[in-house]
Amino acid sequence: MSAIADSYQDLTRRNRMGMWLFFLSEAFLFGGLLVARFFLWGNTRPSMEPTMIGPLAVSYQIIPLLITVVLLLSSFSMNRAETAIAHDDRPTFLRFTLLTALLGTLFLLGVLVFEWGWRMEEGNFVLGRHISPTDGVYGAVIYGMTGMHALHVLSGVIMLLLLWNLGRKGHFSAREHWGVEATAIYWHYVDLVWVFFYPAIYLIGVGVHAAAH
Amino acid sequence: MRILRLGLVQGLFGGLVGWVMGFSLVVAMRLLLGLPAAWKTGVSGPAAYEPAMVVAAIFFAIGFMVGVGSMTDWLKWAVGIKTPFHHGARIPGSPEWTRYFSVDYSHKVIGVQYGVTGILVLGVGGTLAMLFRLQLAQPEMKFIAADVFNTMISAHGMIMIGSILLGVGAMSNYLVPLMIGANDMAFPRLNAFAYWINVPGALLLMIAMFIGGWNTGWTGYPPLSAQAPVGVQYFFLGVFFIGLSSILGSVNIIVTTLTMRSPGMSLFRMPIFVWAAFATAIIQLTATQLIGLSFLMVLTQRILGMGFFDPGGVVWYEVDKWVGGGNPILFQHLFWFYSHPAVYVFILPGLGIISELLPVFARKPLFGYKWVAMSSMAIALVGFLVWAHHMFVSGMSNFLRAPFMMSTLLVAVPTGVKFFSWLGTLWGGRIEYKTPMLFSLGAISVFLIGGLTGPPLGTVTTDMNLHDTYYVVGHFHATMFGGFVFPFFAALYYWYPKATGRMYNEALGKLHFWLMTPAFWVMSLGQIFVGMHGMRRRIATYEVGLDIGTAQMMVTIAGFVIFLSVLVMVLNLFVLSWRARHAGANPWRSRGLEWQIPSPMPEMSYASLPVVVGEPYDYGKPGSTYVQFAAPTLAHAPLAGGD
Amino acid sequence: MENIALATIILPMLLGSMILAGLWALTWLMPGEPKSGKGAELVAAPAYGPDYVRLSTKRHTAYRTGLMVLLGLAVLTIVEFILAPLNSAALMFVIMILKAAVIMSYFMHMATVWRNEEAH
Repeated sequence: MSAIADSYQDLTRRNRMGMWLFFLSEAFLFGGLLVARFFLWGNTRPSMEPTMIGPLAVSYQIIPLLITVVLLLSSFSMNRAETAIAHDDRPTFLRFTLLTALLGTLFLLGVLVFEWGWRMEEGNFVLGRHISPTDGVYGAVIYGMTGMHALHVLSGVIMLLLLWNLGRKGHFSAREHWGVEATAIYWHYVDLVWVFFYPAIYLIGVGVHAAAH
Repeated sequence: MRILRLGLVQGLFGGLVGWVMGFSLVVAMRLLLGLPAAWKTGVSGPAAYEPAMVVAAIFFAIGFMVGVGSMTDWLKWAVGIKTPFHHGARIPGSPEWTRYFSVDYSHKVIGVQYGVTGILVLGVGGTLAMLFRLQLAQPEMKFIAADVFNTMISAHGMIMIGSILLGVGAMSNYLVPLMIGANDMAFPRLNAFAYWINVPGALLLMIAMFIGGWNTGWTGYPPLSAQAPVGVQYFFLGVFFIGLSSILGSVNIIVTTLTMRSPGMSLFRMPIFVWAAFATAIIQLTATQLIGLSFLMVLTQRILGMGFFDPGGVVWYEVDKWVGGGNPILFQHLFWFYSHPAVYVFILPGLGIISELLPVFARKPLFGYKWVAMSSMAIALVGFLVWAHHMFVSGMSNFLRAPFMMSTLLVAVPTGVKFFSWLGTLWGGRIEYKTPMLFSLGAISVFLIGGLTGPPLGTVTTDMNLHDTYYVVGHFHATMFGGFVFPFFAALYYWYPKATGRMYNEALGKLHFWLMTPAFWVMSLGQIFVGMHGMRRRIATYEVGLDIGTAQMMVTIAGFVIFLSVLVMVLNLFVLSWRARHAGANPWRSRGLEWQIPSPMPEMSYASLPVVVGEPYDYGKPGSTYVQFAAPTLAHAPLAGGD
Repeated sequence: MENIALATIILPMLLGSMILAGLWALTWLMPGEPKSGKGAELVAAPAYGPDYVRLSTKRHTAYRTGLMVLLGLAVLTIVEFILAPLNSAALMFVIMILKAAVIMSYFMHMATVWRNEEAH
């Protein structure tokens, strides 16, 4: 079979093409969510109450901005990890892979805890600090978009941890590191999606308040 | 026990375990969160029961895939265990037939798996059609209750679509590597995964009929699907998994076509079917996500209360809480963005088969090869811009109607190119009327009916009257039979000797054709006739006063004849095959790569490297060569200038 | 409007300092050369001689590119946030596409899809 005779370069070329086709496919999924957002919200967006962190009232736009920054930094550290293994710098690769996973987890926590607002109330889990999934079309689209994205971040974090484990055991080299490249471009792709989702949810449109002012 | 070690059996066991785990997980979580675990009845079915059923179905699919063994290699890779690639039975020493019931990486085995599953599922969908056609044979017959009738027509629609996708997968997976001179697909493991995920998908579709069914039609439009019984969730998930198979399979087809062609096979020297499969894969890769998304949105609306499609009155927001604002039209846009290009997924491979077979049996070059190749791509690309012609009466913005009408009529241009090419190929040829050729010609005649009834549906003014009548049913069945069923049967007869090494019974094959084709003309024209006389789609019975009883009876009888003729084919190909005569390597005197190697094909199709040196369809031109074989080598060294 | 004031002054400053702090933390984490530690013994690259200098320089150039891209993306994000009150969806989309192009070309190495051989 030709699969055995093919060189690592041939296989990597095919894998890379397959990965990008998968991204193209996923782009239609995320594009569909963006279409849903603009179809249903038009030129509006939900404007939410400030989050109370202790006695401080913090604008709800801060938390999304912070988690955006976290994701951006994670993208950078992923790039650093990939560059490191491409230049045979394994310790840096391991360190930054782990850091990327950490930043990814931080992003997930930001979404789950601050954006979605899972919290304990009288011994029960309650969802929805600003807005809950049942809050009409605003809640539905916000939870749909952030949920689908968070699912991809979660899978990316799992991939990163597996990658770190393999790297620790001595897999991958400057010549043969398709596993690292695949994880890296997947992670950047997840960041790329957030580049579109963040403004679509939080910046574009006229803020509409839930409570009558 | 050998049976217990089959992948299929282990997969079903894993699926069952997964189902139970998923169901108990939801119940346990509800108990932990302090929610009532009692089956509280909500608006759309029991509130706790439905999420549990949905999670159980997802776990069922995962459990099946783990159990069947299609994820074993990937799970091992994830922890750093290398798994050597191997062809042959999973458990060494087991007989050849076990390969077809377990995970196998050979594209030939996977192609056969796709094909046989497709025919089985076709049988299920056909049986449903026979049942409800009995009710429609006469006016005012009510032996099937109305909601069961609705579940049956919905199931017929989606199960048939599943079967067509399986058939398309069979043709692409089996033929594309053979035709381009590759020994396997680019990602054999992904290929196996993409096949096996169909099995839980198809099972979920069938289970859906027995857990309440879904009375929404195959389109599953909200708000009806947001209120339908719990069966609609299994329908969504079944389609979701079959769609996943489409996406992963198309990645494989595209990469294989682009990177694994034989030396000398430039894009415009590929067999025309490969072009069709490539164009199909582009649609499947991208558009399929949208039907998955639209179904997922209804699914979450039902179990999580996310109101994408819930208008909720006219108030967009009230004090302290946003409510409503959803829009069911969004669903139709997302749904048809897949489901219209999907019909090109169904027909493009079939049209490719017709173009592939006509030159062989007419002994003439394919007329306008490049135009035919490009027309497949053009249909695929224009197909993305026509979806809203399904929504002329849905209440979408009026200004969208004219542009979508024009883009829809534009599809007729590349389709016309294909018809011209077929006529040009047949013109003056020395035609051999073998069964595959008969089915190709039958396909052209049937597809012509489907094609000519299309423009009245794409034109806004006439669609206003014809929308949701049996005319649409007639048009759709004509395109599906002409574009998929007839060419698929032609392909089965044509490549059967190559796959098995034995020749089917020609007389029975011709009987199949002469039963099926006239019956289909009657059925299709009858459906169009009753539609124009006021028969609506998706109604369980109709009035005597419509005066269409005779035509309906004819349609039903024709349907039964078609069903019978397919049984003749099954008898011919699957039962009588064991004592059929040997066919030889190239019974059709074809120039294709796959016909130059022995039948049945060895495990590694191309032990020696094929080198393409000429044009694929130069039949009847003396001295022209398409392919030469290099000296046998163990490992293929890349030739200079290749690919 | 207090929102505008918040958006134009306080948040960019907060954001900028966060990014700077993050960068500082990252550069501190970034080792100049392989140190001893888990996995260090597996490093196959030359540790001395002209080859080491060449590799080490190449590596640092690559690292610096990543840093520059990060800075560019951070600036674009700040600009996006500041300009959001203009309420121009078109402008937002231009910035989004710009960011996407940067990520695809530098972080995801899109050009390698069409390249036959490995460059490194």
